[in-house]
Amino acid sequence: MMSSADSGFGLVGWILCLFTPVMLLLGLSVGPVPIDSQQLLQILPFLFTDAFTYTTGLDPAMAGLHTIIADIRLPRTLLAWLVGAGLAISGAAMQGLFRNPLADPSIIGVTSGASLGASVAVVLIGGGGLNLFTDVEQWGGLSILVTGAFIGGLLAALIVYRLSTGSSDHLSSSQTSVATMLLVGIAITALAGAGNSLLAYMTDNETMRRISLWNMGGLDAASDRRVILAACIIIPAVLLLMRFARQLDAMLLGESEARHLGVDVQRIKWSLVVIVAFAVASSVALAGVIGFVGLVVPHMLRMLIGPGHRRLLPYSALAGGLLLVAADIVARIVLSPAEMPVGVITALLGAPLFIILLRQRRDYGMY
Amino acid sequence: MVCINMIHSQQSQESQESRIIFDAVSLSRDGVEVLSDISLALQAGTITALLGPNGAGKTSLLHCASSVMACSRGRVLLNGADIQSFTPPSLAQKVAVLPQQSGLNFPFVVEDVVAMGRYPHSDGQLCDRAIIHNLMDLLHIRDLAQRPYTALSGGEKQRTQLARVLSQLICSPQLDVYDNSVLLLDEPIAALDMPHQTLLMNLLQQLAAKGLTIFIALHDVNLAATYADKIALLKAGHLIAFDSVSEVITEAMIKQVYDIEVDIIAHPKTAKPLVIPEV
Repeated sequence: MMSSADSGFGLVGWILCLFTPVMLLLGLSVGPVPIDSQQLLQILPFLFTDAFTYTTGLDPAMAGLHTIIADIRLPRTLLAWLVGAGLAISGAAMQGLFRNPLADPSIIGVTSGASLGASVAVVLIGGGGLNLFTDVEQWGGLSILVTGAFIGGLLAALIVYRLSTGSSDHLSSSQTSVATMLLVGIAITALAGAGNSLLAYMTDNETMRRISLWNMGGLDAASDRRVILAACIIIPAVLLLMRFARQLDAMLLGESEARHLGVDVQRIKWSLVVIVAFAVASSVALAGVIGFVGLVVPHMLRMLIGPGHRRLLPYSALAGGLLLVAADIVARIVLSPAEMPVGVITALLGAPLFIILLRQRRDYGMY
Repeated sequence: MVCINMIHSQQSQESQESRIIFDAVSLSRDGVEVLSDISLALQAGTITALLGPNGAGKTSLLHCASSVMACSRGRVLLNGADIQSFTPPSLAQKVAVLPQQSGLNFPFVVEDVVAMGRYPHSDGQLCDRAIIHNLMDLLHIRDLAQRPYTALSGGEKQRTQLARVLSQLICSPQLDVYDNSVLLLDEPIAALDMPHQTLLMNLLQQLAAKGLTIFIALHDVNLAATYADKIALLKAGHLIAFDSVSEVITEAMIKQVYDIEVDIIAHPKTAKPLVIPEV
């Protein structure tokens, strides 16, 4: 029998790798204007060329499809993929840090904190009269958005961790309190909600629309710039988080046990919280509030491959990307030609699982 | 099988050497002094049992020795250097700790839990695997190797954790131990049945003979008297006695520390003191 400690890439990993390009292509072809595989294959080689160059000497009707794919579906699908990967691996890392499978960034308030930070940034950029940048879609505007979300998310993560694990130098902190963690998450979510409403109330209609967009999850705002910015933050975050696999395994034994195994617990905590805050903040700032991805994906993977992080972390990133691209496809077609916010789909998937997990919490020694 | 750091040569000189020294250690928690001015030295390659009633400060003393808690006054020396000066990875290569209870709630399989003890070392996978398998055999958990930890009984969990902690200090399947290493155990036998208690204590004696320094908090005075080289008696944060078994296990001493009347007879085979509570 193979031990799950074997470091090789397992069957589940290969399946995920195989499905990723399939799902990405599906994300390009499914939508209000259906594009079949033949058309897709014709367009794909010219994806990164200008529509006019592409249509030279070809059917002009294809130019329209080229535009749909290159300008709308490609950025959207890639953004969904990146954000899904970032949220899922963040969830897996947070659950390791909290030694608790319920610690999803959206449940413990990190996502809400980030959305409040993003809202404040929006108001500063546009509605607050400061007019730092005329357009939030410029590089500067997007960077401020991400920075605002990062500060909000980081603060929320620190507050939750601090309150639910007790003072950090004390031994009794080896157990995190689940109840406290969830309650602090509720408090932060409520606070962020109030802050968001207050900001929406105080600012103009355009800003208000943008703020409410975040709370639903808005992949439809995807643009080349957003994809590039998301890639610049989420890909390094995923690669960095994967380096903590061993330490996270040890952390599951308990904080003091991890220290006895040579893990610099304090440093790991800080690194993880900062990296996760970055990944979550960029996804909130660029694609809105999308909940439960970090809960659903690691949970299903643990049932398949066990809790070891050496596989759980990379697989979570792969499966999270897959899941969000799939959810986005569903969001595009169920109410076609209208769209559902993708956050609604993930919540419909995640909230029932969350309730089931709450019922099973005794299995995880949580009260 | 290539394993470095094997101990062969200096074993004879080592028996005189102090592995861990508590130098006038005091510890305060929330304004209450839980350890007062404790000085003792753990000799290399010996088993020192730490006895005392509940709340005497046994766990706190172990925490000081594992650098989980910094003492309020005094210091703890490991191989002559202040224990606070070690980085977590370098400390983990010398000191392994079994806490009183472990809260692992994720379904790692037993073999993976034991393998975590190898994290601080990099002696190669073959060597690691041989050590892990040998320890699982010794502690009778080889059959459970692929079972999830969360599905085990209390005693099985305890043996898994023991195997994990031991694998942190053992560098060959022949149970050779790393140089200058220390094992700290907090009540390791509480969940074990009698055969496994004896099994563990014999294993510890074997490891001590290979040069491992063992500091073990126990409730069972007779087990301590049978297996320990020296006994430290704690009461309310004070070190009442630290000496050989025959000096410490006396009716007067037990009365002073535990406040119960006992009779002490000689063990029929080992002649070690045997404590019988008076009825």
